[in-house]
Amino acid sequence: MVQQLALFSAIEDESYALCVETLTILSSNRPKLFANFSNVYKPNPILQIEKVNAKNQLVEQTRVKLSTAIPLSNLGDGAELNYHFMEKLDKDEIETFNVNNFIHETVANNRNHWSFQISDIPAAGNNRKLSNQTIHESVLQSSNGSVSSFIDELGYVNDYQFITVGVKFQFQSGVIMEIYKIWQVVQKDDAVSMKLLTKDGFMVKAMYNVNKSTDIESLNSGSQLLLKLKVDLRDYIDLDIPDRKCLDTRLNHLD
Amino acid sequence: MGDKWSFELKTFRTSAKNTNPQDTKVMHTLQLSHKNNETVTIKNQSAIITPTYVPKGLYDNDCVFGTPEPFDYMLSNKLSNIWTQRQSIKGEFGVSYQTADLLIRVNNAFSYSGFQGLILDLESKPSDTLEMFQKNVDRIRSMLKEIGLTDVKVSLDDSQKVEEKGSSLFGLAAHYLKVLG
Repeated sequence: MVQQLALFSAIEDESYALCVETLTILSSNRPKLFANFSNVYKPNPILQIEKVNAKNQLVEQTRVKLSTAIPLSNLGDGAELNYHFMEKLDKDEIETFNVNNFIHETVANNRNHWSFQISDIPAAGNNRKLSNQTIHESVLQSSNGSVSSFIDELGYVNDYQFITVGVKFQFQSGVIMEIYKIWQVVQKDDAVSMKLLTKDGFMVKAMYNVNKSTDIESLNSGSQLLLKLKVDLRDYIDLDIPDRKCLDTRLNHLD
Repeated sequence: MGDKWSFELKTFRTSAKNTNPQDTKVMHTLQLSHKNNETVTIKNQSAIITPTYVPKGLYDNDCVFGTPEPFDYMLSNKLSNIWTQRQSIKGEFGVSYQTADLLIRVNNAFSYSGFQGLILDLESKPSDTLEMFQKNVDRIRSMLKEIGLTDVKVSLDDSQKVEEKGSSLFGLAAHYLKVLG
């Protein structure tokens, strides 16, 4: 379980180079390229699932997210990549990345590790200055068959898929800042294609992760660090609290 | 006498309605201390393993943010609308003996309702053939018979192929399930 404090913003494509330079100085760390593929599942609609568990506690139906790393060697078709790679990514397709091969190999290969995440809706309140969300995490590796057949046995079915590519900056203080783009993955018959959702710009996320929700001291110091960062970057990158409904993973059709 | 060891086998049952009637409604999780406490989760022929460490690739690529939990925790805490824990069979402070031919692990298995039996986990030397192992197992069985233990359930791995780490843990978990389930 991790308690994630976060602020969000967005920048335009043209601001990327300067933004990376600024954050490199601010974090005193080099930007690190990252990429992942996420598969979001929802409870199987065929199943009739009670709203309460055996102890009569209310348990709402939520989506679960499975993610796995996209090795950078796959992304660049073997070429060594650095943060400049992101400058060229303004189209639906990533030229050097064969998404078809990647998805088919990833699905067939059962040696991959996947993270398994269930997120609670971020905490509510009037005077919140940042998002505070509990994320429950586990790690899966298939030992027999595929991870997706296990998810099927668990009672979940495929909902949507996406790819995130970006750079992250690890601050000495523990704050992490990320600049990234998101592509929706569309599977039609056997062909896979990508659709860039963050057109003309990048998402910006500043976060601080605390391992225990009872660790009030770390939560307080993390909040202060993020709010100070918000002040430091004011008028350049306006970091803001996201609408908590956007981070809600519950199924709404139950309302 | 060698290392102390322990295990825990949990049984979950689905509370969802309208499941495929041909399908089993039961899922099991098993942790073995001598297998790094990795959690094996099995339903039907599908199984996954939850390691106790975070693979670096997942952390570096933003798939994981903190310290992951064993999968049985997920089932009991976040998926309890679909999965309900029905039983837990535990063996604690088991002992292991290294003999010339076998590594023998012994433990008392307890559930909520009490003593379930004595569990013996026999492992051959890697170089032994199946025939040699079978002979050693038969010797242990005749010894058990001599002391009056005739009500024995046996699950034997007769696949001789060198298996990958992942699938061998799955195979071992299947044996525990067969004798305890």
